[in-house]
Amino acid sequence: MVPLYLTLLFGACSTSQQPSEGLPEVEGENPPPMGGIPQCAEYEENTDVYGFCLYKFAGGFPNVQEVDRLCPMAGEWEKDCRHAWVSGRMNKDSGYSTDMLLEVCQQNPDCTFELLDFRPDADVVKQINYCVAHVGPYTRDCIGHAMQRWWYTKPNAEEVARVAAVSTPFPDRVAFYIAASVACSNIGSCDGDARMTKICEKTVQHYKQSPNRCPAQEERPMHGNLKPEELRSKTGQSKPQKPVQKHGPANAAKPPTIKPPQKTP
Amino acid sequence: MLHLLLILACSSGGESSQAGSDCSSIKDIKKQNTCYHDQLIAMPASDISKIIEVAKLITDDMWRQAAVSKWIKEHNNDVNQQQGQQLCSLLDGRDRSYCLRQLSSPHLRR
Repeated sequence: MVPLYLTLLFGACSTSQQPSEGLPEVEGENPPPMGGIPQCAEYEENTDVYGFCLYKFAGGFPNVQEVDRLCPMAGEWEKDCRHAWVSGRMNKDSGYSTDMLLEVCQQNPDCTFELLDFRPDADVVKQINYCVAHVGPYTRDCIGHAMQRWWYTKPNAEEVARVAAVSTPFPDRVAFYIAASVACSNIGSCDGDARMTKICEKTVQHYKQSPNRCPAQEERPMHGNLKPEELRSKTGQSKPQKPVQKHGPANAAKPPTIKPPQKTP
Repeated sequence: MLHLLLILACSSGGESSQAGSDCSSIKDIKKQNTCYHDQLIAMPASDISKIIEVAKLITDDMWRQAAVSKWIKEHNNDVNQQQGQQLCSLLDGRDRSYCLRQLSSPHLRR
């Protein structure tokens, strides 16, 4: 009889997307106490392929103890092994706390950033602190994303003051949206963290001069199901075409005849 | 001379899996896959079509995906997106999308 543990691992392999997606946890089952997983046994003689195999099955590992036991056997694929396991549990209803999953990521910024961006804390200040503590080279982007989401919540003056007081390594990311609130929504002020305040005041001037630069406060829907080739620029790859004039008098696609002014010595 | 003959005999009889050897002459499928795998990961980025060709010769899915994933990890800075996409299409699921991201996201570039 095949133990449930093995069935789940097999199922994890045969899914086409995230291996662990939708898998029930099997806490209480008895995983193989020692050694790796049988699915990868045939690759044991090659460290690299064996590690890759463990990573491919990582989504089906039943608990953190098994991740901590098996992923180190994956050698240079350990990071990916942990990341793959976390990826399948990023939904808030997975039963795993953000702190626990961050621990499993072991400071791999690809893993921590994906996790924090996928399930951000509702409190932007906490989210910023998570960004600063865990995502290393992606801290600026992480804070930027946190602030953008915060901006969509249409914060009131009290909330603006609370966030403006936060000191971060990237005050420009905070200042950008505090200034937007001050200049574009007339809510709150730039008072707060000294470095942030300085940038905010400059940015307010910028928004006041060019109100069309104010960031949108409505989240735009993501366009799903795009194929990579659809994301590629289509310009510059086709044959030369006649320009199409949409406005103004017809010029029959002739270039303008105005000569550039002659330079006088 | 005798030494040389002995070395040649040993290396051909042992179905070597060294990169650059003629993997197609290896009869044992597992050893042949190992050979193509090792050959692929040692290849430079200059000829993507050759890499794709070798990858397609690997009959075991795990060996093939391990080789391609490892190669992309090492060389994602050296290939253009279009070429890389052909290689990424040899992977499946999460690996394929992560492979494409490695080619297009500046923060994932080494």
